[in-house]
Amino acid sequence: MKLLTANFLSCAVKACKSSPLSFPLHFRDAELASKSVPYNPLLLSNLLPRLDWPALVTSSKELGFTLPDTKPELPRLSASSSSATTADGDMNMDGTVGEENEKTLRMLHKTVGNFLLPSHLV
Amino acid sequence: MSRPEDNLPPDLFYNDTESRKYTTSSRIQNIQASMTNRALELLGLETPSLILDIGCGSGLSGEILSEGDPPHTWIGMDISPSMLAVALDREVDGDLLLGDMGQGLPFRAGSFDAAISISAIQWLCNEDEKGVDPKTRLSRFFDSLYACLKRDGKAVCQFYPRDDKQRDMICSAAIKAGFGAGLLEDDPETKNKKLYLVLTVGGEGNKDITGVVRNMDGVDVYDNRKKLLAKAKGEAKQGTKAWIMKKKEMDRRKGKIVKSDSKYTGRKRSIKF
Repeated sequence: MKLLTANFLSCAVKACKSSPLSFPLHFRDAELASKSVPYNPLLLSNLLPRLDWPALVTSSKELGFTLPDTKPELPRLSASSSSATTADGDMNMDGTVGEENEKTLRMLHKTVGNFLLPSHLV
Repeated sequence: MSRPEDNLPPDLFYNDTESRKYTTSSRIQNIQASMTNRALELLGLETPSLILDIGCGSGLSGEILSEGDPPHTWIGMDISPSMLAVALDREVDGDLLLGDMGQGLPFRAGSFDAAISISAIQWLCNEDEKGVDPKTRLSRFFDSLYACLKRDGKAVCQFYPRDDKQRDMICSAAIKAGFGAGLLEDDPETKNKKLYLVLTVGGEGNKDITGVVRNMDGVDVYDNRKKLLAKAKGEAKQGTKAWIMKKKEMDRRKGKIVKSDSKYTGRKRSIKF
């Protein structure tokens, strides 16, 4: 689920918002721990159209595991549920996330990302 | 009634002692739970959804979202590290972020089905630092909230305004951001008065804000949009021909000497340098 959350996050710095590099955020020095969560097909079918799959694949590579390159389609959701459950597994991460045009690093402390900005970047 | 908003900024007010109250005091928990349930009722979600909890604190409201029927998934955001630490200790289900809502929400457009906020947005009206304008912070918050909700999405924000002026400031900022907005007042005229700002984002199901409470019992609807519209229609705009004619008629009735109307009355003049 943490991975899915990261898929919805983009850079909050005003100057970066217009840049395509502000999304997705990249993991660095992240430690991975997985925790399974109950499989919820309704939620997944609800979320799947909104996920940016290429970004999810990038994040998963940065964390050291792979997802199929193409987005699983909704009608075939039951067939591809194995990959879907991987994505839904809970990740526990310590490390940093940052964007490509790196100015700021967001510290992840015990899975909580720090998105506070100094006033000049708002 | 004490207003912590008047004393300290939120990240300092919610320190370790204050945060601990949210897990030990059953009174706070009960109030928070009832407000969250009311907010959920207003959202009227039928499928498991992704919900943004703004000012999630120690995750009291989030717990209700996870345990609800159907169970929802939530992402919480709060400015106080102590509150988030309590949330981590309690091992809540949602994902947490440390962030300031007045700086805008760091989410991609159209990410969430709905958003809730319990007793949080009145903090935006504070001028904690020099050079920080509450209006800018409010508009930044509502603009980014509008963007990160999907079409047809809804948001319910329970808040404690200091006075009517503050309430109107918050509402007008939300309307300016593009939301359809309505206020629900529970237990009006009592000490336990609770205000819920209900916001809708476009879409088929959200054409009229009053539709949100259509199926709820014991809710009276006061629609002041028609009144405002009629008022705007009835008044001629200053400088227009209709306005000039009205003024002349008024003066005539007072018995003043007024030039007779002609085809030149109130005409547009060509631009001269």
